[in-house]
Amino acid sequence: MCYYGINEITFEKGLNIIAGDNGYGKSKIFDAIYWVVYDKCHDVNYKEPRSTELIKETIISDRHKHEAEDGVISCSVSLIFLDEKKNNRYTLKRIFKGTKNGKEFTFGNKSKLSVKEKVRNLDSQFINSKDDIDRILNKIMPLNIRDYMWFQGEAIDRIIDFKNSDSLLKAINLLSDISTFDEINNIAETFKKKTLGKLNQKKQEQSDDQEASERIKNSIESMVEKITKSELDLADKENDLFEHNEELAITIEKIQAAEEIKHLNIETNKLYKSIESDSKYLETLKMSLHQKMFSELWILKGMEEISEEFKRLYKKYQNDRSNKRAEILSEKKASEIVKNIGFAKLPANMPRANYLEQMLEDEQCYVCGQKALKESEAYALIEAHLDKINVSEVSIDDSEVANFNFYDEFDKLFTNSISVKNKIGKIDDNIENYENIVSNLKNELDQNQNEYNRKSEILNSLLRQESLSVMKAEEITEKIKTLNTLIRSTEKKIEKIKYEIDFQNDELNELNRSLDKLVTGDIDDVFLKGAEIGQKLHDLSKSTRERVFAELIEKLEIQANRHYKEMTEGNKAARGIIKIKKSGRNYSPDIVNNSGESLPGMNTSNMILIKLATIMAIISARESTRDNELYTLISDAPLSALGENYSLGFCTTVSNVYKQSIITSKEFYVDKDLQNTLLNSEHINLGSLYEITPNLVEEERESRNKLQTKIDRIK
Amino acid sequence: MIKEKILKSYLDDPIIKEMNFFDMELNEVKWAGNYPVLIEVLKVAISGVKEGNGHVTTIRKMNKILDSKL
Amino acid sequence: MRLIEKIKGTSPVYRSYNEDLIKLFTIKQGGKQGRSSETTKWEEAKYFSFVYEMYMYAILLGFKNNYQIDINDGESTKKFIEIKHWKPEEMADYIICAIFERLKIDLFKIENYDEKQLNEFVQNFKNEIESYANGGFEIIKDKRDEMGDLFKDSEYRFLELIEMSIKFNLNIIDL
Repeated sequence: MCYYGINEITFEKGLNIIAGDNGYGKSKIFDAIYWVVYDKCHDVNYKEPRSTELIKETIISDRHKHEAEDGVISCSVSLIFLDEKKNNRYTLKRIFKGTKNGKEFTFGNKSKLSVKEKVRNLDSQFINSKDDIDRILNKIMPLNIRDYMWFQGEAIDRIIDFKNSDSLLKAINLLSDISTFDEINNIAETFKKKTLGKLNQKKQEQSDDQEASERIKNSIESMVEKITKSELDLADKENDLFEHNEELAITIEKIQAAEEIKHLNIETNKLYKSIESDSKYLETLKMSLHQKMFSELWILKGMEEISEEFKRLYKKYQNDRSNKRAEILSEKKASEIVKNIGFAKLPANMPRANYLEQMLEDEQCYVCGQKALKESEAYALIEAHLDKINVSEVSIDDSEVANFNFYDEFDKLFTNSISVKNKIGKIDDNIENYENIVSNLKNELDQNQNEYNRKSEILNSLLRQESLSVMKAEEITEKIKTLNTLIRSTEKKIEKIKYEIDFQNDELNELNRSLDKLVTGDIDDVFLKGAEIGQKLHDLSKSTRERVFAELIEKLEIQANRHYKEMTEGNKAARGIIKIKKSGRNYSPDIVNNSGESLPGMNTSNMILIKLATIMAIISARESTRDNELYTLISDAPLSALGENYSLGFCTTVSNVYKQSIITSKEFYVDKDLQNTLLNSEHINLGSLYEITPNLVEEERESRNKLQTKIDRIK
Repeated sequence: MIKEKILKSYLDDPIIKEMNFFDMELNEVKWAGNYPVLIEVLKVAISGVKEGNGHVTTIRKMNKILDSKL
Repeated sequence: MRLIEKIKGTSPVYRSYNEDLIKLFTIKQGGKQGRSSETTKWEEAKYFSFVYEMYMYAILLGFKNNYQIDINDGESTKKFIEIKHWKPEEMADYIICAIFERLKIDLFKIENYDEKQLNEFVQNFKNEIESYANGGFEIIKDKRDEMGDLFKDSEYRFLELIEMSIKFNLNIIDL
């Protein structure tokens, strides 16, 4: 335990809140109160309250165990209850002791409870007798309503278990006076039988034929028994029929959900596959982008000029090279001609081949200026010159043109640059095309993803609501068949019982007439009127009980809706109206729309709110009838079971329904804005607000030997 | 819930209202049948339950009313 | 003797301090080809498959922005694969054309160099490539520092970076 030394908390009228984070010791305060009254403490390992004998020293502060000297060590909790109206005061103190010897501890099995009562202005005195102690405990917290007044947040679900539909009826019986009416009804029924019995006895006494009358009277009695039995039977069967029909309705709702689940399942699977393949494709595309930057030369975008510039370099190179080559060639040819033709000296202006051809065509030598007619010697000479030039094999070595020849390489670079240039021209279109594909794909993917998320959400909420798997759908179909068969057979049985009851009543009347026929003289009024009054009283008590109960349910509904509305204010998720429905002989709260149709698909938070509203309705409806019996609501973390945004609504309702309530809460500790709203709220009747904090930070709490919890009163 | 409140619940019931009407001619409340005795018996039953008496005792008391009033 | 072959036989270097940058965006380091699937690597925002891809990218980026950073003597550098292995070859060849153009060299004159002059020329050519590449790396680095994590948020980032250089035709370091 984390409480060390003496800690005092005063709980005021209205709502008292103990706020602290997880593990700070909120539940321990709840436990402490519980321990005093019931000698039991919540055991984390068992998730239920266990008696002191079983949990022993774990209820003693670790720090105390660590720091105390050898000798007696103990822990105790005192509760002081005030009954302001009667000015009574009850002090309950429970103490648990043990001894410390070094690191060894010995503990007794039992804790000890002492009770002091101070009535009005008298001196307070210890109460010793067990009966008196029980009387006081029962005054403070009657066992039968404990569940509705002292509960843990997570236990709310259990208190009214919708599946076990008599739990509400039980609560109504416990917390209302309907049991008084039931009891009166029982008395009236017995009274009716007695008066009728007396009348029939009298009839027999005044009979012509005592024996026959005796027989008839017995038959009447057994017929009445039979009819009673048949009527019970009928009620049973009608209850069965109701329950079967209810179950059928719920099941049919489920199969409708199942159909939808099946359908949604197929659609989400389809979407998922399409998303998966699109994503893969998109990945591939993204991958291909960086490949295309190279394979399709995209990073060369806009660099066509290089090709142009290089073309210039290359053309110049080509020119330079061919000029040089031509130069060398003509020099070489000239010398060849000299060699072949045998000129002693090369003419300064040795004509080239094209000139010679021109000379032949013009039949004139342009060297000497004379005519060179065809078939003349001069013509033949020019022809020979030309032949010599043409046939001469003049070869040029590369090394004569330049030291190196890179022509092939430059040419290859040039050819490449031309082809690259062409490709660059197409890059813009290519990139645009790629971007279109990618953005279309991304859009489709986004759409599909949204659609998938939307449908998955619907599917999941359906699955949650129905706690239904797709596989179960068939099971449900089968169940519907069975239920339908059951309903038909129950209906037949009901018909049969009704017929039997009619028949039995006819027989009873016949028996009564036969009995009357045998009567001689007048029957004393006392018996006739007595039986009449007995019958009337029974009719009256039955009818009144039904009416009072119906009024109670109506009142509960109004109150439950008031609380529900208050708690859900500012939260749009909550909707509908609470309707307390009769299901067979029992009752259960349901949520309906304005036209009274059930609203399917409630979430857990809503369910819990409906239950809470119903519990509070029972309490607040009771308040008006039993204002001298007021108990304190004590609840550990009730808000944890509710959804967000319900905290303030819950507090408003609780503080109005219960004269005093004590709740623990994490919400009002962690959310300081919420705490401020609470402190300033006009609607919440806040008695006190405490904050509890450990003296050690979380990392240091591992060793609990120095642990101590601080209690600070905020309001 | 006090006895009067319970009794009132019964007196509000349509069954008993039928037995209790105002006669315009006589200008007085009339009771049909054995209304006063029925009320007496009912009161005994309510007291019996509220005071925690057993059924046997209560019914005996109710019978006594019948004997004395009829 | 062949000139282009000689040029393509060289292995350009990058400054050692750019190695982290290269690793950041490249899937495979030199000859060591990781076996991790490309998709996973892609998700880690790797834009280049090989160092030479990023290197070519850097040359072109430096080239477009007219941004050259010479590598000083004695500076720590990293060699990698020879130009002749760079792919696609047409891009590598086009880059060579670009360098020739930028050097404003008379091609025929080269043919008249002697061997020593030619070797010097090849060395110069390589230096020119390297200075553009290192200029490009600097631009990438600046852009990444400027954008932080945003740099990796789009698969188009490198394409945008090189496109921007065209659009504004100015040094993007000033952007």
